[in-house]
Amino acid sequence: MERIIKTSHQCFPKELLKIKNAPSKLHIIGNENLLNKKCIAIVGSRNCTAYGFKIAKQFAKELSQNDITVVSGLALGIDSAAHIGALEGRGGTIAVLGHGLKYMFPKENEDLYKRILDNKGCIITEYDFDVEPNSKNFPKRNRIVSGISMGVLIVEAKSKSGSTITARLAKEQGKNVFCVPSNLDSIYGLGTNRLIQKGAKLVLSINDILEEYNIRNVLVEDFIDEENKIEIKEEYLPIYNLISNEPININELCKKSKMNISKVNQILTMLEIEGVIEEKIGKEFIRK
Amino acid sequence: MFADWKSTVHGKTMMARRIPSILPDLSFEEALETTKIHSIAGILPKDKPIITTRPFRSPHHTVSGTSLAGGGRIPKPGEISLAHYGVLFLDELPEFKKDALEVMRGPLEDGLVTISRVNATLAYPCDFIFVASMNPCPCGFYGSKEKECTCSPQAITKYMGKISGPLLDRIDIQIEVSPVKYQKLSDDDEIETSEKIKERVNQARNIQLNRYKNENIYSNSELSPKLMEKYCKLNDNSKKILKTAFEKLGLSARAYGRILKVARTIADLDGKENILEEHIAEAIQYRSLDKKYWKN
Repeated sequence: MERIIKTSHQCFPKELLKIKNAPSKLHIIGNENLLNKKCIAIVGSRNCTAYGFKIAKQFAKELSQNDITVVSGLALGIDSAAHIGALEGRGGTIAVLGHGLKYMFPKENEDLYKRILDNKGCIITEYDFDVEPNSKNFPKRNRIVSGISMGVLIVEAKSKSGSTITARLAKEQGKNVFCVPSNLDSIYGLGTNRLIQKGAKLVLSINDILEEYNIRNVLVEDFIDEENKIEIKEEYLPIYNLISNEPININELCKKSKMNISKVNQILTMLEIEGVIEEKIGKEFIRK
Repeated sequence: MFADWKSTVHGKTMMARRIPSILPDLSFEEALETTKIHSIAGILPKDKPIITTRPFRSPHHTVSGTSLAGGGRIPKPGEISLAHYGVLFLDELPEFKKDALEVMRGPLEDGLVTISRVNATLAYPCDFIFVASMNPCPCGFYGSKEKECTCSPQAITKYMGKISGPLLDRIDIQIEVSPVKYQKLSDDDEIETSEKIKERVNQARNIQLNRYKNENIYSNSELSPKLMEKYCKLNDNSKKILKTAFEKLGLSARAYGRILKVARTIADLDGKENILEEHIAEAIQYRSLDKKYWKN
């Protein structure tokens, strides 16, 4: 159950001690050993695109597989994706709350909350047990999210958002700020693109993060294997090749492949069953 | 039955209103039955003593359960019976009262509605195509790339929650349509005309009439589980596809029979005697609301 860790405690995150206005104590549930591991924060919009969700999940998974702990705020959208992805690796994940541990917020993440604890993750907060969720407190906890991490990766942020606050705090704390680029016409990418313009590091793969800390990516070899593994039946290729990481609408698939809708529907079902593509809202498809 | 949803305001209502233009012709027996119901309801036009086209009913979302199912001191047929052998279209489905929607569950399954009052207990037939449309969320922009959705996740869950699982399960074909841009409306893509589609529909319908001439039914939708065993046989490959689809795509078990019937119809439209893998695969794709993707 809930424990309180003071700054003098050996488990209190050393990184966090370095920042100004560090909390005097942390309330924690779960595995406290994570607090002094190498951490990277992944944050972003609550309302995110399918692309953002996918990328956040993938990067979190890969970082975690490299034994790096992923830190985020347990909000909906990108935060959830980061925790979910991290659970697939061995690095563990830390959720930093902006309220007391008595409350489960947002309700939709109740399941994720349990999964984090079941998988040797931990949930921390600077607030006392019965402090209610209040949006005023949320930006404040962002300093802890960035504070315990070596760097912050931002995946999709609107022009004025909590994530851009986290980026500012991270910079003040002397941490690296990494950003995933977005399309110029996406409202969810305005903030991240702007941060890149201002000097945040543009990230194409987790290698761009790892090289800052001289960590070797253990996944490189595995990756090539995985790419070769996917074998698609030849008759499905005309559709499969049109589907990328960017969601594509079913009507567009028909047009580009010059096949009729019923044929396209058939192939999509088969590809979905084989688990190589995924349907997103609005009858759009992306690679898994 | 069919529902669609989309991320802006135009298009789906227009689409639904065009449905009568591709419906198969009314047979003589069907015409008589429909005429009887309209006569009982007292809405048969004086100059047109027999109804020759399939009815299209689209009650407003303020409609009560009673006027949908039928009622009154001496029970009169409601909207679902007036749509007998035709289409009942409910625009903006989640705006309807929940109890009004739930009234339709039984009739959708049985093709019959029984109304009991002090003076009489009557059963009216109501074999209709149920068509409905809805937005993905209250503001209509969820999933849109051009405009941000302003709804909270709770609001979206609540909006979707207005449509119960059992009702959703009874909708065989669920299609999502994306916003149509103005330029695209006048795009000169090759489009199949309603006349051509109707021809295909009539052909498929004739195949069904022939197939079921000894079974006392007209179409695939009326197949009972027992008849389904007889007429919707699957080969081993199709069975495998269906099985993996249920495991991997999170389809509800109630959808099973409905997928089979839709696949049977697709095979008929294709002019094939047996249901093939491709027909099953296509039918599965029409159940997109079953997949739990909006939870991300």
